[in-house]
Amino acid sequence: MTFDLLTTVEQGGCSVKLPAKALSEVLKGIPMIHDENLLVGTEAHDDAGVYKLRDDYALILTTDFFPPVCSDPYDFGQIAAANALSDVYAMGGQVLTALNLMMFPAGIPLEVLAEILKGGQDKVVEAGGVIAGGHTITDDTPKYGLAVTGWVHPEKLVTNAAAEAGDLLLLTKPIGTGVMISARRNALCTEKAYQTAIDNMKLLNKRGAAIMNNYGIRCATDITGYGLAGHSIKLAMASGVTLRIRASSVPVLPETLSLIEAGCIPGAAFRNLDFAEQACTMDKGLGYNEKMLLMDAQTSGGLLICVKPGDAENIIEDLRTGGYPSAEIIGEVVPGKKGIMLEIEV
Amino acid sequence: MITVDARGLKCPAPLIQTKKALKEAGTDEEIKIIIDNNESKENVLRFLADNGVEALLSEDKGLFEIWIRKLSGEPEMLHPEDYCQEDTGLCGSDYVMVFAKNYVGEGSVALGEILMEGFLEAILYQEERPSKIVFYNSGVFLVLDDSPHLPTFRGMEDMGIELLVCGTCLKFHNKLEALGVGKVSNAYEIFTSIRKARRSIQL
Repeated sequence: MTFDLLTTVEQGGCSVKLPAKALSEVLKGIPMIHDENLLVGTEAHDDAGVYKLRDDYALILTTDFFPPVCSDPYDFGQIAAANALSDVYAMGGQVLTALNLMMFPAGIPLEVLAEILKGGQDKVVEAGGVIAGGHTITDDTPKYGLAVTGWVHPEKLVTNAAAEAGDLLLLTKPIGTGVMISARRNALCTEKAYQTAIDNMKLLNKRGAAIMNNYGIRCATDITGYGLAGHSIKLAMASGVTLRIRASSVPVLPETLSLIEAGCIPGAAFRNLDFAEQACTMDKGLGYNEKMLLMDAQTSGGLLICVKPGDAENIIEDLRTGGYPSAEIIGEVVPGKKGIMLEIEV
Repeated sequence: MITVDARGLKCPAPLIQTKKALKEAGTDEEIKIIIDNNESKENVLRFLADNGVEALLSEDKGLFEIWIRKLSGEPEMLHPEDYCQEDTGLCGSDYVMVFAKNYVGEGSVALGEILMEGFLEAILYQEERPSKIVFYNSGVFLVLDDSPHLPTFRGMEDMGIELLVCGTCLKFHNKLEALGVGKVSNAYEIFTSIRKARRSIQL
């Protein structure tokens, strides 16, 4: 396939998310509807909604879609699907079904559309789910994603609201996909580094969720558009704790720090900084580039998991041998400090 | 002088070119950056501010010119908390209220503190409310968590009025953690808010 999808968009992936600040503003005016079976709703700002059907069975409902993040349509289909499926995994669940959501412009070869859908289907199948249908409309720029249904035993549900002081923080995938996508568009990164980013975005969080289940993990989230800093803050808020992250321990994609040094900082990172800096403190010695990397919007990022210190070594080992070689302990959970959700150390 | 013509370029390309120019420029050399879209302009300004580079901005028919000068040595890395972003333009700025102290008027401070409540209520009953309220010097005491006016200001914030509180002032009084409402801001943002407003009112 020679058609370059990146020529159709100016920004892509989770970096097109509405800024967190604006979204909270808008949602303030809309009344919440309570339902005793809705275990996780909008108020928690969690990764997905969870609806209990029986005492031993709850549905996980989530959707995500965005414009192209990469040149190749088949890659894009896989990444958009992996990203949408990820929310099910962040809740500790398994995938059941998915619906395709597709917006596609007139004038682009229809084979491109077919390649995107094929990429999506392959990931859904890899996830153990099935595509049950979908909806396609025409639009100026292509957008693709899924509406996903999964399930979880309510007692095994993983939320972003159960972090406890003393937990260690573990991240399963390297960050920097937003920087890399921008760099690709400006021809600044090597093909090898770009490919590493693509592979990481395609990688399902399925195995990570299974490992969480094995260890009885109750608190995690996946890292997407608000960046590592933004999602850490959301988790801290929901749990009533403060997170402490060591920037130097955070796994990063190759070349990303030097790309930021060259000025390759996507607009979304500035928007995320806007949101994050109101709720975090940073060591004076923290470098500007390191700081901006923590603000970088991720597409199909890894899981941020809160683990008990006694289990940390075993979980890291399981993750590294289970397909996430970059998995790393990046910090810890401390008792909540007023107004500070996140402390970033050098 | 180096000219960076970033017309037609979208984020982060203008920033990439700006950084390149900063690297190539000699000490004290001027750099002019031309940008034709608002988001890129904001992000470049934000980057420069974060890195302690002073910038002059002019605008003409949607075209922005940013003038900077390369200082000797590495730009000083300032504390990130000192900076905040421009407003997102979601609410128009008609007038801005300025609280540079925690009492109203001159003369008796005790009387001025009593007057505050009445004046704040008066603001609430106006047909046209301020788009922003800025607080600096002892004005920041109005929005600390032990302020009697906290519920009023919270109500204003819920109405969409943006409250910008001088971070340096909070730090000076060692009250950064005692902020009860509003957003920690800085001189750049506070001044920009006042400048951009059609008028500002100080009591």
